[in-house]
Amino acid sequence: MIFQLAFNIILTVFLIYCYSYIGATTSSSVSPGDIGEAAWPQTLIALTVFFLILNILTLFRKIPKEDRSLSNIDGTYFVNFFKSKLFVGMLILFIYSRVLGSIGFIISSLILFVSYARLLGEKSPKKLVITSLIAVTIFYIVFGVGLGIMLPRGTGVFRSFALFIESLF
Amino acid sequence: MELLQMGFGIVFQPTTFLFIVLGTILGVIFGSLPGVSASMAVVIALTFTYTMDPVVAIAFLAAVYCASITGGGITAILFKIPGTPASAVTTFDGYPMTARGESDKALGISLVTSAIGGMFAALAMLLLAPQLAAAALKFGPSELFAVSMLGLSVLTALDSGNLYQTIISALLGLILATVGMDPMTGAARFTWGNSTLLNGINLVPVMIGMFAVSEVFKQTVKPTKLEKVDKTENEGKKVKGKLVSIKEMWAMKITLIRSAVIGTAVGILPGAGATIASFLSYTAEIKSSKTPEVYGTGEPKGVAASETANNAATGGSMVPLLALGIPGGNAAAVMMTALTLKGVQMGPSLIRAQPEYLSSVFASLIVSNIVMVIIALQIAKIFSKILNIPYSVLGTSILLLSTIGSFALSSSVGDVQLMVIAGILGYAFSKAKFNIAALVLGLVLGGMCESNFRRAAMLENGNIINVLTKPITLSLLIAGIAIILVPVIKDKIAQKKSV
Repeated sequence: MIFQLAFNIILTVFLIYCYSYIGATTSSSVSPGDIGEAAWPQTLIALTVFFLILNILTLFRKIPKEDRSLSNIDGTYFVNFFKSKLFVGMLILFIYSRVLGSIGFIISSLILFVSYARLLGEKSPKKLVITSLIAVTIFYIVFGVGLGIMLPRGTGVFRSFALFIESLF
Repeated sequence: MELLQMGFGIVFQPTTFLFIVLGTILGVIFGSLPGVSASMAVVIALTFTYTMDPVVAIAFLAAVYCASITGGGITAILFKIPGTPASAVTTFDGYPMTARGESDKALGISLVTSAIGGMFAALAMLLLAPQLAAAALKFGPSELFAVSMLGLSVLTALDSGNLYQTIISALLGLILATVGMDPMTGAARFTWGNSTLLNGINLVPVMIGMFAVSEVFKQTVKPTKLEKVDKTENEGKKVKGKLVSIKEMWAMKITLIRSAVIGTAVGILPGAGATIASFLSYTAEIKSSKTPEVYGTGEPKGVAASETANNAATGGSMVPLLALGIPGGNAAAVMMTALTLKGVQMGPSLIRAQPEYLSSVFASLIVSNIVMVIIALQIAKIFSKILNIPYSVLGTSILLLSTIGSFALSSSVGDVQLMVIAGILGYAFSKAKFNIAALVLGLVLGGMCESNFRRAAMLENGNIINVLTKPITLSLLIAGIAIILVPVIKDKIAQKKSV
């Protein structure tokens, strides 16, 4: 419930900002008959904010009266998120997407496979290494070689490594 | 007849046929794995289509979609694990049949009825889509705008328990579709100075993120527990390959017809899809039965009702996609994106201008439904082995496939980052009880809604009242509002009565 409320409130605030942003960044002069560049998104945002407020009120009403105080918000809920497997998983994938371009597909995917499979419960280091090598090789052969998809090569030494692997096929 | 010849001519070309068989194998395997929904199977399979001809691509994706729904039924019967949500109902009677040693019969019923449902829906698609497209060709921009809004309203009505969240999700999808260049003036909107956003939000990475990556996140938090299959237990679940008899099938003819009609009709509704179809069909089956108490204890008709309907919904969802350019569900939305990427103009004129799409999808559905029975039966024999793949390998492989699928589209690492962001947002959305299907449908239909609305406004010199009060437009919009409000009013009346 706390998460839902917080999510709805943040979304409302963000959309109100978007409403003013689109009004400020688009031209007001329009061709004859056209409703303009901002009118459509602004109408949608206004409607969304209206329903978000209704949703927030509905969610708020579901909270027992005695609990409707800011002091009752349990901060540990949010703190625990940053310690959770989910956050670590999101972080791993986010870092992977950031380094994919510079490290290249092969190396970064091997690291992703080992770390995410470990997060999902695989404990044996031997299995982690073998399965990641097999999986990345299969994906590389099927998509990179078979379907001719140019997978990221990376830069510098990683690029040289990717080119070496490519020369093998 | 010409359409049929053309369709089978395309499908029986060696490459196309090979891809349909490959799609069926992939679909059955993906569909059987818990944590991989039918939409996810189609979105993952999208990666294979980048180098394909568009007609082959849609035939391949249709085969994956159809087979993944059937694959979900096999694990539902053998291990009480629905591979896809659409197969959840199959566990009610399928697993009790397995428990009493009738796994062959249950599987036979499931596969044959799935094929019958799929073929019935394909036939309905062939007959209905051209009529619907012909009617839609008479529509102007205001009517097409109203049709898309009607599609979105159906979606909200199907989730009346979460009405506000579903409406908000659809609206957010429409808002996200406005990112990029204005369709009329070319002005930048919501780009925050980022030139890559000028082309708008790339649908494929968003869909992959929302359907595949967010699902892996869910499994990271709460993994689906797979039943460990020991040797003695597995003996009773061994599939010998003996299918159901014609006599047994004939005894279920009414169930088959009813479920196929329900499945197709539900599939046509935007957003409804296979899960709702199977639940509705099962409920209808119980209500019309003289012995409703036998359902849930291993009644073959229960398996037939669920499996016929969920496969019929796959063909049904193709009707609005091919006739109007409005996807009938998540998987159809992915297919629409795949075709749009290949430069195919979706909309009512598609069937008239390029009838090969309708005919190839039809032929693909017919062929894949037949091939599926043979393939699924073979795969069922080795299912315990497939199910023993640990999620640590499966989940991470899904992430790699998702990465390749997002990257390969335009060789852009930015698309992979977009996929990750969409995955995180998709997870947060489902946690906040928003409707991801509505959001994606809004995103897919957003461009069409806006450009039609603005074109209609220009034709009426900016008079919006005139746009909205055209007879067909007004009727469609009133129907849309009624679809949203009726379940809410019904709920309120029921609540008052109970007080």
